Amino acid sequence: MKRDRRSAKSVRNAALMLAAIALAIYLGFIFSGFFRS
Amino acid sequence: MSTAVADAHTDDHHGPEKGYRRWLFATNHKDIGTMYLLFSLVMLFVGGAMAMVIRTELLSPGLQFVNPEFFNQMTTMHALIMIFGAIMPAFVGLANWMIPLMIGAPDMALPRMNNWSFWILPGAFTILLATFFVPGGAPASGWTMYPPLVLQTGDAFPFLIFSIHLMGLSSIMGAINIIVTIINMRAPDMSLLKMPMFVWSWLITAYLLIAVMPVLAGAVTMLLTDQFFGTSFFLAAGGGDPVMFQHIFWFFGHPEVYIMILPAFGIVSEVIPTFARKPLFGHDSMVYAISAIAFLSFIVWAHHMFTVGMPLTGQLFFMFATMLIAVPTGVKVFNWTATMWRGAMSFETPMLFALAFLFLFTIGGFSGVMVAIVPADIQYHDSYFVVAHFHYVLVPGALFAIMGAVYYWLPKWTGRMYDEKLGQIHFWLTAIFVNVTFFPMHFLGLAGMPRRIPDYATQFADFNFIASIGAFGFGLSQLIFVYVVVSCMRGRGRRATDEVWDQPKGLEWTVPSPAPFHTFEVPPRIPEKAQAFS
Repeated sequence: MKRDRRSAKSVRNAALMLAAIALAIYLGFIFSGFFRS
Repeated sequence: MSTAVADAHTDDHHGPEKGYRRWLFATNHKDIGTMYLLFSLVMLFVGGAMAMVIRTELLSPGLQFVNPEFFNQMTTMHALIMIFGAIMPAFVGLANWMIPLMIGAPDMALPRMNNWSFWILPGAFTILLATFFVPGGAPASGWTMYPPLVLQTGDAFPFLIFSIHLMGLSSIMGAINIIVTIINMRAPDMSLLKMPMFVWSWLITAYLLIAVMPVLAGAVTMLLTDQFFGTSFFLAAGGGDPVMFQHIFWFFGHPEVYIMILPAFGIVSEVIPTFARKPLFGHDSMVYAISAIAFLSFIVWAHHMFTVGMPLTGQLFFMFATMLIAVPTGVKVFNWTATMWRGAMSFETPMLFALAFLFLFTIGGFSGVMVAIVPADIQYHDSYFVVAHFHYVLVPGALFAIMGAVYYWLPKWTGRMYDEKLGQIHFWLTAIFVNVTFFPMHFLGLAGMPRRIPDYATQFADFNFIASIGAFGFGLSQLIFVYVVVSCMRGRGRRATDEVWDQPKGLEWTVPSPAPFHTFEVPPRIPEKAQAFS
C-alpha cells in the first residue's frame, strides 16, 4: 500500500534524510581538508 | 485521513496561549512567521544604523567621524547583519506565514523544530553584537572572513565563528522544515507543478541552503581549528593554502546570493499577476528557470576571485558559466513583462515595489554581467562598482521584494488594510533615494575608488556626498514603513476583505482576514479558480 506522504513517519523520515545530507556535507568538507594537507 | 492530521485535530479548538508563553513556546507557523519578520525588521534597522555610520564617514574626504578600525567593524557587521539577520530571516518569516497557507497545510511539518530555528537567531545575533564590547572590538575583516586577515581578529574571533555556526544551524533546520512541508504536507489535489511560484522558489532555495550552509560551517570550523588547535588548513606557513578558503567560502557564497534572490523572484511572480489581473506567463518555464539558476549557482563561484591568479582555462570557464545565468534570468524578466502585456494593471504599493524590482534588479543583473567579464573585472574588482552592483541586487532586488510582500500580505495577516497613501509615499521616497545612494557608486568604482576604505582621494568627493545624502534619505524613509506596519498590527485602518485584492488567485485568499490561528485543519479541496497559474 502506498504510504500517506502526510503521515508522521513520512515527515520524520524526510527530515532525517535531509539532516543526514547536511551533516555529510559539513564533515565531508572538513575531512577532505585533512586528507589534502 | 493521516495520523499527523488526525492528531492535530485533538487540540484544534484552543487559541494561542496567553502572555510570553505564546511566543517563547510558539509552534504555530503564523506566530513564528511573525517573530521572524519582526526580528528581521529590528535587524534591518541595526544594520541600517551601521550603514548610516559608514555613509557619515564617507560624506566628505578625510577621517572625521570614526577611526579606521571601527569603520572596518562597521562594514563587516553591516554585511553580516543584513545578510544573515535581515534578508534571510525575512524570507523565512514569509515562508513560515505563507507556505502552509498556499499549499493547504495545517502548519509547518515540524513545528517544534520551527520554534528552535527561530529562537536560535536572537542568541546568535546577541553573541555577534556583543563582540563590540570585547577587547579588539567586533570582527573587521569583511564578511568574507578571508584568512590570514581574519585570524588577526581580537577576542571576537571565537564569538564570530560560534554565531555563524548558530545562524547556519537555524537556516538548515528552517530549510529542512520548508522542504518537508512542501513535499509532504501539500493538499492532496496540489501536484508539484500546480504549486504557487513563491512555494516553488522556496523549495529550490531550501535545497540550496541545505547544500551550502554546511560548507560555510565547515570553512569557519577550519578557521577555528587553524586559530586554536594547531591545524594549517589555510596557513601557508604550515603547508596550507589561504586561497583554498576563498574557494570554499565562495562555493557557499555564490549559492547564498541566490538564496537571497530566488524567494524574491517567487514574490514578484505572485504580485505581478494579481495586479495585472492575468495568469503568470510561462508558469512552468519559471520553474525551470529557477532550477537552472540554482544549478548554475554551484559552478560559478570563482568569478568572485578572478584576481587571485588562476589558470586561463579556469577564468574562461567561470566567466562563461556566469554569463549563462543571464539566460534563465532573462526568461524570468521576459515572463514578468509578458504577464503585464495587455493586462488590466493597477498600481497599488505591492505592485509598485514589484515593478521597481523588475527595473532596478535588472540594472544589478546587467552590472553583474559586466563584472563577469574577466579582463574587465581585473579593473572592477574590489572597487565601488562591485558595491554598486551587489547593492542593486540586494536592496531594490531582495529588500524591495520583501517590502512588496509585506504590503501584499499584511491585510491577510492583520485583517486591516494598510494606508495606501502612506504606502505610496514610502515607495516613491525609497525608490528615489535608493538610486541616489547606489547609482553614483558605479561612477566611483569606474573612476577607481576602492571599497572598504574610510577615506578617499578628493576627486571622489562629489559622488560620495550625493550617495551619503541618498543613504540618509533612504534610512529615514523606512520609518514610514514601520509606522504603516505597526498601524495595521494595532488594528487601525479599514477592515480587509478575505480576498483583499481584486480576485487574486491562491489558497491563502480563501481563508478569512486576519487568517485564524488554525487553518486548513482538514485538507482543502482546491477550487479551480484558486489553482496556481498553470
